[in-house]
Amino acid sequence: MTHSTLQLLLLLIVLTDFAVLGSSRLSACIRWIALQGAVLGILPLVTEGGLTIHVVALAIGTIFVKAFVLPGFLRWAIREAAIRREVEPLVGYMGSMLLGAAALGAAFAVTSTMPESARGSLVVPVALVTVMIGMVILITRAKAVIQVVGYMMLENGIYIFGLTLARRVPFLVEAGVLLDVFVGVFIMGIVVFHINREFDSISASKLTELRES
Amino acid sequence: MILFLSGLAIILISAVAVLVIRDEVIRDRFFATFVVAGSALASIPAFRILGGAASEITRWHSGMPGGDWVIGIDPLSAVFLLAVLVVGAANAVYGVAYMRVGSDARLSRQASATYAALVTVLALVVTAQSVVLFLCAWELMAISSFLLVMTNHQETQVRRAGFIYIVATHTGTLLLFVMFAIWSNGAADWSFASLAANRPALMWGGGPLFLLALAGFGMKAGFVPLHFWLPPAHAASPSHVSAVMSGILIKMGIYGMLRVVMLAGPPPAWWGWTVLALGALSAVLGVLWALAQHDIKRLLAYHSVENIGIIMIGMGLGTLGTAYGHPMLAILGYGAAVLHTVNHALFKALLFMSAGAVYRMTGTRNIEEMGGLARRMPVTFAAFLIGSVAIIGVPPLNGFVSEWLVYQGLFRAGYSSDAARIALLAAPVLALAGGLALACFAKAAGVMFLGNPRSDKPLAAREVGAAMLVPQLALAAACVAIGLLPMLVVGPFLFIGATIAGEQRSQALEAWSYVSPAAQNVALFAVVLLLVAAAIWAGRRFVLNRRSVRGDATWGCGYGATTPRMQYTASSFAAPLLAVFEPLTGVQEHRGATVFHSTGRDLVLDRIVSPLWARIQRSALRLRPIQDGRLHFYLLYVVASVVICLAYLVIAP
Repeated sequence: MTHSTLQLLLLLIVLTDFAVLGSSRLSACIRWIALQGAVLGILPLVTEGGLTIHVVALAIGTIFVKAFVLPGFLRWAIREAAIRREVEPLVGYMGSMLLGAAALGAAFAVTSTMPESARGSLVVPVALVTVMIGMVILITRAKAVIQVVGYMMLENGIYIFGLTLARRVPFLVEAGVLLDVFVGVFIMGIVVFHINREFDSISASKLTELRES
Repeated sequence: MILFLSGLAIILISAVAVLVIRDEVIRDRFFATFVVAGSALASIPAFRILGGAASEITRWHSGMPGGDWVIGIDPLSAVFLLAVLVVGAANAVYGVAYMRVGSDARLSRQASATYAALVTVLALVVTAQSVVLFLCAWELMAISSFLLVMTNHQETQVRRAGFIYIVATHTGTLLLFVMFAIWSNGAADWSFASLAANRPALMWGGGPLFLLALAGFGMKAGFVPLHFWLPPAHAASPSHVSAVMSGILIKMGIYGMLRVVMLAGPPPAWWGWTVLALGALSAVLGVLWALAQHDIKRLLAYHSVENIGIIMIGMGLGTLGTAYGHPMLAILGYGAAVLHTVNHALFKALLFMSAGAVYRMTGTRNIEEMGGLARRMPVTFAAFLIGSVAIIGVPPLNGFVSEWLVYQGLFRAGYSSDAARIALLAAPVLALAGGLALACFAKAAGVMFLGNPRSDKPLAAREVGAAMLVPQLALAAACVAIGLLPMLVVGPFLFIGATIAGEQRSQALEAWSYVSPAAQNVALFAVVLLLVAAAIWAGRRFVLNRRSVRGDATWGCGYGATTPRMQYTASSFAAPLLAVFEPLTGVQEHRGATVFHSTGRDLVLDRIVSPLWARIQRSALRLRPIQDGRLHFYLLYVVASVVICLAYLVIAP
């Protein structure tokens, strides 16, 4: 039972990856990333090893941070900074989807070269594809808010990868959750508001004005 | 070990306290007390181990990449740890008093906190026994000392010095990264013990490894030609920081080289020859360049280059001893190197403290503007004089003991029947350096303290407070004690030398019985010298008691109309000696009908490093188009480089 549940959850994560990639509205993107965070939180409960206090605490902490706190921050930022609600991609939605599909293929191709233990389940390819799609979003989207979403997705990918190690080095996984909180507050506080105040826009493209000439 | 760690914790508490406590007097007292108490506590295990107790070692499972954290104190660590703690504690007391005058409160609080952090990481550098912990401590040392150099960052000169320093130190750290990466390839884990067991990684007879260690640690030690960051950084920092940098920080380079030799086992002979030659070069060029300086702190900084040279001569001798199979030579060489390291830490810190006291009172570092300070600051003068006599290396002070041990090693090498006897050629070089050092400190002490004031800056000078005098006197007392009692000190240092050379204690005992009769003579001679000096002084008092004494201008020769401009200047005093070594000194003379003065430039910095840097900057400009300034492109670069690295991993076997 747990194995098929795990596969289902992982597929859901891939779907949310593509949903973020294809959505044209910021609020939709945030909704999808919140859903991804919630699914991510359930993941440690269904991996083998059973319910220990440690795993339950990890799940609750993850859901709280990734599904509520950070998306809440993002919505608040959109409201406060009165940002236009569109994503404004540098590469079109179709192109992004194709890049995502290529990433999916690459992830499975890379996994097939890995040691035996990694090939059995979907965990490793899903982690890789989430990281790669996160990078695609970071590179192809102009607005700072959607870049934060991309960063969160990248983090999620690393988190999934860390789950395979969670029993051996729990410390690193928890440090990852803490890093999320830090980055969320940091990026919100500095990037979004600073850009908005200084340049009347929250597009990261405007950061070019900071370069040395 | 628990004593050591709690001592460090107490020093760190003082760093926090400085930032928290509001009241100035309580803050300074608290800081000085805690640093001294922490240092005293942490030095107990070091004393125990030098006294013959077994080495201590502790491991923590860190859970981080890079394996366990290992902290251990062996005889080599213990002696460097003692130097760190003694000089660190004395400077903490001196530093709070030094910073209180003439700098604003926020600045001095930050400087104090950073200083305490620096002492802590210095103690960690010498006790770390695993690569990751060592490199972390090494890097923290570089950063905290950089912050201290930049204390007066409003001045352009200081910013330039700080920049040169941080670039130089990071270049050195980079080389160390490469060295440890090569070395730990294939080792069981990253602790020093595993590195020592990992001899096969030393490809080509350890050649690349030794060269990387020499350059990486040498950048910190500052031998010629890697010394270029040292004079500007020493001149720019507050005096107590210069004292720690010159006394302790650059010695970390020496510590690193000794540690590598100890771990890598008997090094090849060419390494010994390289170190010996570099040492001889540094000893002579360092003191020559010092002679050309008229900024007291730059002068002292170049003397550090000279003394690093002397230490490296000892180290090179030790290496030659192991390479050619002369255990006694190895023990004498390494023992002399470590003893001179400790001695130099003591007297160089003392000299920087005295120079700092003079700087606080006169507001200038240019000795051409001083003069006549002996009457105004008698205790500082006495301290400076003791430091000078020690650094010149004449009896009865500690500098003589260690230089004498180096000479013993050189002569011992001269007796051998194989190639090692060529090392004897370093003896005249060392003697030349000693003679030039004598001239240099006759110039410095004479121009600063004797005669009449050369400008109006020294007129208002008066003796500094007890908080700045007591640390100087403590270090001076240590210098005198080592000078008068060599038979108590030399023995333990020969044991440390035996540890580094990997020899048995019985060999050290043999070396000790070889030098001990002479050491007793040294002590006897020192005592006789002191008694003679005391007798002359008493006789003078006795004679003068009966006569009336008339005061007049110093060096006036009874001539009534002297002016301060009729005295020797520092430039004119140094000129005849510098003329002999004309092409090497880089000195520029300015002659006119009524003026003569000279300025010393750093040949390595001006002729080699600066042009090289300018060229690097020019070629870096070609990369400018890459710096588009758009975040998306930077991310793309990151992804591209990760993909390339992964592709390499897939393609490579």
